[in-house]
This record gives sequence, C-alpha cells and structure tokens, in this order.
Amino acid sequence: MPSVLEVTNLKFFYRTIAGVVRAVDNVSFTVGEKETLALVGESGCGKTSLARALMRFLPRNVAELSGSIKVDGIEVLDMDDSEFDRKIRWRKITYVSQAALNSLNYVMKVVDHLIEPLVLHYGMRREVAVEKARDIIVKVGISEDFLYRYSFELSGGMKQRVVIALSLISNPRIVILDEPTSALDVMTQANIMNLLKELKEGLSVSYIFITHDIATSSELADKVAVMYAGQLVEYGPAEKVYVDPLHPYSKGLLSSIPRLRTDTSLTPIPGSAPSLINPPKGCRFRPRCPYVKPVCEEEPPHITLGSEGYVRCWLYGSR
Amino acid sequence: MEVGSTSSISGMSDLLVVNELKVWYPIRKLFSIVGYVKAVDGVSFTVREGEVVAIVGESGCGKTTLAKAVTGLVPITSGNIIFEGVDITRLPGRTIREWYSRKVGLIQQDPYGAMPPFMTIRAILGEPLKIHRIGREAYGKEVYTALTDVGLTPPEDYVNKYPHMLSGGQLQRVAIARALILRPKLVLADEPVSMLDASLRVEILSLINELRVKYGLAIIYITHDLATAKYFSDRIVVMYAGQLVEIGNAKDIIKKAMHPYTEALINVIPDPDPRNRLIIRKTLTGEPPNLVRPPPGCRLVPRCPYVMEKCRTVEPPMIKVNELRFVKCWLYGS
Ligand SMILES: Nc1ncnc2c1ncn2[C@@H]1O[C@H](COP(=O)(O)OP(=O)(O)OP(=O)(O)O)[C@@H](O)[C@H]1O
Ligand SMILES: Nc1ncnc2c1ncn2[C@@H]1O[C@H](COP(=O)(O)OP(=O)(O)OP(=O)(O)O)[C@@H](O)[C@H]1O
Ligand SMILES: [Mg+2]
Ligand SMILES: [Mg+2]
Repeated sequence: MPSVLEVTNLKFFYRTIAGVVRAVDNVSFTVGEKETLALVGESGCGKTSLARALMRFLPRNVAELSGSIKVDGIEVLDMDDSEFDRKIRWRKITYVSQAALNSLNYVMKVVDHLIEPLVLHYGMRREVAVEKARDIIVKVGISEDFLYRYSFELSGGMKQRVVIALSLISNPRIVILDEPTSALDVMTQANIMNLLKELKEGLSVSYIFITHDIATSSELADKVAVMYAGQLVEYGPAEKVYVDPLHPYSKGLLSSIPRLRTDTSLTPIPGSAPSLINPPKGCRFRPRCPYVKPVCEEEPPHITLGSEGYVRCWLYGSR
Repeated sequence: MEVGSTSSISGMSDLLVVNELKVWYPIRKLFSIVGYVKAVDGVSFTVREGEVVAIVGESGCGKTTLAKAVTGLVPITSGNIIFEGVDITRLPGRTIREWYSRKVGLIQQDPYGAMPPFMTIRAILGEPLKIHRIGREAYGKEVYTALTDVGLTPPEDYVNKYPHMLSGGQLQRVAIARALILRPKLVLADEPVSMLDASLRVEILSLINELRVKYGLAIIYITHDLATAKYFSDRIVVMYAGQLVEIGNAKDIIKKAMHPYTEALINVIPDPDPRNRLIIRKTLTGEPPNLVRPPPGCRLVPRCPYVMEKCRTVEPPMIKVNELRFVKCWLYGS
C-alpha cells in the first residue's frame, strides 16, 4: 500500500539580503493512511516553511525547492502550478494555517465560507454545496443554525471548528494543521483535540500536526518528527519518541516539559537555536549538546531505526 | 466543615491581603451606565512574604483585571487591598501611591504590546528610575545590573537596541528586568510565558524563580496552565467567572482537586504520552457565563457534571476544608 504522502530529501530555501535561509534542509518522512505525523520543534525551526513547501504556497524570494513530494504515489514537484492546483492543492492536501483563526472574513456568513471552495474550484451547484456544508458543520460539532451566522458572532473555539470544517469539506487525503490550538484556551483546546481524534476515526483522513508543544502533539501523533534548525533530527513511532527519545535534542525537549502526573525535574535546553543562514558545520545542535564530541563537526550519520524511523546523531554512529 | 473566609488564615507574615475585591467595568450607552461587566466579583486571598501564588483560570475569567487592580492600574469597585498592613484602597494619597508602586512590579501579559517600540532598552529600563527620581549615576548602573540579572549579557550589547530587535524570549527578559528594577517586594507576572515557545517557558520561569530567591520576592503567577503552576508555585488559587473557586497548596490541588472546575482543568492538560491519542478527554462543554448577568447560584451550573438543585439558586460560600484548603462548592457543605 503506497503512503498517502512520501517526502524525500526536501529542500526549501529563502533568499534574503543576509544570505540564503535553509528553512527546510533535506527532510524525509512518510504519512500513511489514517495516520498522524506530529512535527515538533522550536519557533523558527522551519515547521511552517515545510507546510508551505507541501502546499506550494511560495513567496517571491524562494531560493530553492527540490527533492521529492509524492502524494498517493504521484510525484507533485514535477507538476506545473496549474496542474498542482487542479489535482493536489485543496483536493488532496489542505492546510489550516497558523493564523487561520483570524483569517475568517468576519462579515461573511459561515455557510459562504464553507461553500466558496466548492463553488469556485469544483464548479459545484450552490444547493449541492450548501448540503455538503450542512453535513460537515454537524461533523465538527456545531449546530446547523450556525451556518447562517456571521463569523464575528462566533467564539474562538467555534471559529476553529469552522476552519477545520473548511479543511475537510473537499474530502482531502491529508490535512496539515499548523498550531491549530495554540491560540485557544486550555478547555477549548481539549475540545478541539477531542474533535480531531473523532474526525480521524470517522473520515479516513491523515494529519500532519505542527506544534511547538510536545505534550499537545501526543494527543494525536502516531509518529513524531522532531525538527531542529531546518532538519529532522529524529523520526519514529510515538511509542518510541515520547518514551525513549534518542537524539539529545529530543531528550532535551522532553525533559523541559512540566508534567502534571509525574514529579520529574525540569531541565531547560541551554542556549538558543542557530541562524538558518549560517548553521553550525556538522551537527546543528552541537553548540547546545551536552554529549558533544569532536566528530560532531562532521555531518552526523543517518541511523535507520525500525521500519522507517531514523536518528541523525554521532552518538549512535560508528567512529 | 465550617464556612470561613480565606483571610482567617492571615497572620503577621501576610504581605498582601485582598479582601472581597470587586472590579466592575461600567457599560455605557449614551451618557448613562446600563450595566457592569463583573470581571472580579468578590475575591479574597492572601500572599505571604516570599511566597509564589498561582492564579489559574480560563480566558476571560478576570485574571488580568485582578492583577491590574492589585497593581493599582484599574479603579476598584469595592473591597480592600492591604499591603504590609496598609490599606492602599483607603489611603489614596500621592505618597502612598508612590510608595506602593515601588513595592509592587508587574510583568504584563503581552510583552510586545507592553514595550514602547521607539524607546531603547536603556530608556525602557530607566523610565521607572526616572519617575522615582533615582540618581542619574545609579541609573546606568541599575540598568546594567538589571540586564545582567536576567541573563542579557553583556549588557552593552542590549542597552541601545529597540524592542523589535529582540526575540520573544529576550523581550520577556527585558519585561522581567523592568518589573524588578525598583526592587519590589511583590511581582505580579501575568501569563509571562504563554506567548513563548514551550521549550523557552521553563527557562523563563526558572529565571523568575532564581530572582525571587535572590531578592526575596513574593510572586503572583497568573496562568491558564496548571502544569507550570504545579512546578513554580507554593499555592494555587483557581478562578472562574470573576470568583475564586478553590485555594490550596499546589501539590495538594494537583493530587486531588476538590472543585469540579479544578478537576476539569486538570483532566484536559496532557503530559507527553503516546497513549493520549487513544483517549477522548473529559472536558467541560459550553462557555463560561456572561459576566454582566451571571447566573444566580453557582456560576459553573450550566457546565458542571455534579450539579444539584441547590446549586441553581443559592451561591455556595467559600468553604474551609482545613487551614490551607478552601473550596466554593456545595458538594462540600450543607
Ligand atoms: N518569506 C521568508 N523569507 C525569508 N525567511 C523566511 C521567510 N519565511 C520564514 N523565514 C525564515 O525561515 C525560518 C523558518 O521559519 P518558519 O516560519 O518555517 O518557522 P516555524 O518553525 O514555523 O516557527 P514558529 O513556531 O514560530 O511558527 C525562520 O528563520 C524564518 O525567519
Ligand atoms: N476595560 C474593560 N472594559 C470592559 N470590560 C473589560 C475590560 N477589560 C476586560 N473586560 C472584560 O472583563 C472580563 C475579564 O477580563 P480579563 O482580561 O481580566 O480576563 P483574563 O482572565 O485575564 O483573560 P485572558 O486569559 O484572556 O487574558 C472579560 O469578560 C473581559 O471582556
Ligand atoms: Mg510556524
Ligand atoms: Mg489576561
């Protein structure tokens, strides 16, 4: 069975006056049917850039976009923009952006938000589209009456439900959720996470769940990709990464998380993330790593774990 | 169990006593007041010297309003705020204000909004010193010490920068430095880390804690995150819809919540665990009540899983469970 999404050696760089920003640098992972991949890492490590590359939302200053992105086994990086638009974007992959909550036009009715893509991109008849909207709005836990409310009448949690409905209405194969709950209150956040869990079961959809919050990521993740300074340093099943992380950065992330149910001591990761213009040679985590040794100045080895996981670190390599 | 007020535990070492505090924001229409947003509605608690008290609650429950009232930034409607034995609500003279504003520091919720964008870090940190007419000579020295204290070293690299040149974590350090520059006895930190990356939160909270020890501060830590409250506070105060619903030792509250609202807050916070994805969490549905016309009985009624008849009509008092534990819920009293 082919994966829904297969990303290999993806590079996505920006051009700036100060130099080339290597925001996504040689990243590989796969997402299977009904599977959730959590993409975690500090602010600025390239999470949103990775989502942009997948959605092909490209700013003018792109310096490089290369590697391979396969959706249902079909290479999409070769497609021109119009083909990508017709076949992939919003049809196979949808995106809930980090700012989605605030991006709803507040003088538009909920129903108009929902049917817009169907009518515009699919040329669906209005009545048919409204039926679909009615269907999806109930699935995200909002009563039908809200279809005819304006977005400014909705609370933050309701807006987030509408945004999620919008990402699901075209029956995509995979939904990218970029910090979908970071702006919400704890209680609302839990309600949204419950909803996403239910939807995943109900509508066979896969997620890429982007967040800087490791605890929240474990609410959905089947697999975890830990991103540091534009690269994936560790990638593997949830049972492995949350419980017994291998990369010193993943270890650091997990031991800096306050836990409610156990009394572990907290150790923050010292220092701060490097510039993506001139990252350190070899392992990018080297300047902050408690296990650093001379060999870390060389490019770390890619150590395969299990069927598809990996860690990139000299602790586990030869030499 | 007896009905008591939390101030009954106040003793000599109380730095701050907040008693039956109300802050109602008037809703004006044309030239008349048509109602009030009862943002803080009868709140009592104490803070002892050197103690960290966390105030925890959902968005809109009145945490920031409470912090602003305690620091004198919003007028209070009724009640008292007693600091070092002086009722600052009764003695509004200029000298009192000046004395009090040196004793109490505030780290505001949004560091970006709270920093004047066209002032250098030196000017931002120097302003409180200038207002309190602290000598020009000390001015430079104090600013350098403050920056060093919060780990922005060497300070020369930062004094001439503007807020937009700093990262979120660095800016939060400046906000901490500013709140501490007059060497207060009490610092209110209003969600000091909620805008920051998870990996930075512990670092900033540890920094605040280090400075607390170094300067013998008491801290009121305002947050919606019980997990950090567990690690960084001695006592936790849970706030819901303008009122306090539970007060107790941090560890005790986390181990065994008594109020249904506290219980729900604990239930919804995940620890990193691969089993989380297999469970649906028990949450409260619906929204907190309207603060203009709150329900007559307990304010949690529409969302509470344990609601009884009495809860709908009679507001529960703050019930004293023991010297340290208080809960505002009919489940614990008759
Ligand atoms: N259009 C752009 N041009 C140049 N650099 C950019 C551009 N967009 C992002 N960057 C840089 O790329 C890096 C990665 O940014 P990105 O937004 O992908 O991070 P992120 O992991 O999503 O962070 P956050 O958690 O804060 O959302 C950052 O250094 C950022 O400054
Ligand atoms: N200046 C004001 N005038 C009128 N109402 C206000 C004012 N400031 C706040 N409110 C209202 O008072 C209530 C409490 O607000 P407050 O900001 O104190 O809550 P909070 O607990 O700090 O919320 P958050 O977690 O979102 O920061 C809210 O209903 C809010 O809309
Ligand atoms: Mg991002
Ligand atoms: Mg607030």
